[in-house]
Amino acid sequence: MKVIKKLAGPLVVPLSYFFQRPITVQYPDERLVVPKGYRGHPLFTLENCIACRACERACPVNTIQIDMEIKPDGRRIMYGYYLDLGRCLFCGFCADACPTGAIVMGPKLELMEWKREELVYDIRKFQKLKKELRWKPEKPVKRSACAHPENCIGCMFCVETCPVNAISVTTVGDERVLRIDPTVCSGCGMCVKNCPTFALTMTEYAETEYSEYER
Amino acid sequence: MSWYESPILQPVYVKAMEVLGPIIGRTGAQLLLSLIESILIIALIFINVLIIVWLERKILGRMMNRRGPVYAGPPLLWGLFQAIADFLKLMTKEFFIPRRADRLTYIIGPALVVFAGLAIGLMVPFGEGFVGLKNEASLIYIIALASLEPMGVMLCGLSANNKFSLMGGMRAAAQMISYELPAVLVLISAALLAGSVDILEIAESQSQIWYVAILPLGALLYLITVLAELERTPFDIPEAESELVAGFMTEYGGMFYGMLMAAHYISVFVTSALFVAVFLGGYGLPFGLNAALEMLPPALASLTTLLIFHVKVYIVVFLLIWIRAAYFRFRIDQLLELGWKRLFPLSLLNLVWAIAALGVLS
Repeated sequence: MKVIKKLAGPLVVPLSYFFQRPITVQYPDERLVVPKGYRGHPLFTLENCIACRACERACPVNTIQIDMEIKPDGRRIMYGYYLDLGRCLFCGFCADACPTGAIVMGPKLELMEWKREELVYDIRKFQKLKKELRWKPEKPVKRSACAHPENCIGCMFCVETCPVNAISVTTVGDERVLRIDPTVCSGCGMCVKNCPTFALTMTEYAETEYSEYER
Repeated sequence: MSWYESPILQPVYVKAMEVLGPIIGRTGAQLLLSLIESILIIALIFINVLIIVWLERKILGRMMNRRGPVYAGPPLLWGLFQAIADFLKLMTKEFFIPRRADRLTYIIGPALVVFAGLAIGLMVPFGEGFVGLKNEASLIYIIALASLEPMGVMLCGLSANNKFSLMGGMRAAAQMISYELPAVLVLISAALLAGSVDILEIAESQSQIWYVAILPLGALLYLITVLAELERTPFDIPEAESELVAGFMTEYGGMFYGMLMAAHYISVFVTSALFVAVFLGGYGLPFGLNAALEMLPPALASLTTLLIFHVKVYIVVFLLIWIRAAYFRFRIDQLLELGWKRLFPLSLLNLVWAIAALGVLS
């Protein structure tokens, strides 16, 4: 009896599989659905970009290259955005670093090209990809900078590093007054990163008002 | 010659004799027609081989949650023509003999294996009137030819001058010899019940009850020995991939390899057909239901028996594929121990059982 059970046991499993549907997917004809929140390749859009170059700095393999110019009046003008997918590690640091959600990790799986040069994505190519994926970037409402004025030593680092010139310092008599304009601030976090005394933090965009801090 | 006794081909035969007789003489016409008949038999076997290859890959795939071959072939029978594609590919490959190989035996080996399979197919009753060669001693002929196959396999293994081939060939020979004996004893027990060594008579004597009901032990033993003689999965030791690359087929390529593979599937079909003929009532129905077939027009009845036979054969083939999907591989010493220490005494017991059953039935 035991022998029969032992011999018949292996026969049951294949037969049960025989009546199930196959789990393989005929790839070019049918495709698996990419799960929500899938982190594939970097996907860039010009809509939200403030040209803060956070992604360029965050990239561990220097695959992002931004051609831009800072005008004397503080405007940042971008001439070109290049991302070489041939070098990209798909680590997602650029998407983490982006303050405005202008770069996210996309869901496309087939990124092969005939030539290596075609793997370098510029703004036009990213626009095409965006249209193909029907991606609607979210408006940046998340972050903005404000201050703990008691810590500030007035070193001016934040003023120098702010990519959108939202921070300004004026000297009123003996005191220095730090002003952050929330309508200009894009919340890139550069000032928070550079502040040596942790005087600056990030808050919700909705909470911030026009802020003026005295030292 | 006997296919022309079937109600479908008989009018064709008569007409052909009338036309060809005056031109090339009666003997010449008969020779020509028997040549055509043997081509028909081979065609039937090869069509079945094609379907078995497809079924094997498809069912094996489904039993592993895969799909098996998908693209080549008509809709609803996806992948059916995959075997044809493989065959054409093997046909177009280079004709190649290893430098140190024994040329003559290297070529004869696969041919012998294919010949043995096809020659057994000549004797198998496919349907009413569809017997290639009627002979009173056809079971003995089949047993003799079945033992020719290991000879071919051994020639393949010896001639290629490769250690894997040699070991595979020797293993095949050892395996086939040790399983020949139980198989023959089981076949003889069935022949004893039928009172004849004619495979046709054995099949026809089961019109009331199939021998699988009288000799269940014998049927099981024969199934096991069939697996061993076909070198299929629990006993696929001669071509154990993980040990012997491809066993006796290691040095074969192109059409030689194709012939060996074809021979394997021919043997699968033919031995399944033999199992059906000896234990599952051949092309007939059990419990005297064959009388119902006689009410049909003779041509249709003949075709129905052909269909019944193939349905039974494919049930056995499905069983073989199922076993392949389910089981592990035996070690060579386990295999020989099973053959000589278990199956041989059990087949003797089965013979005694058959004699007792003969006494009770008569």
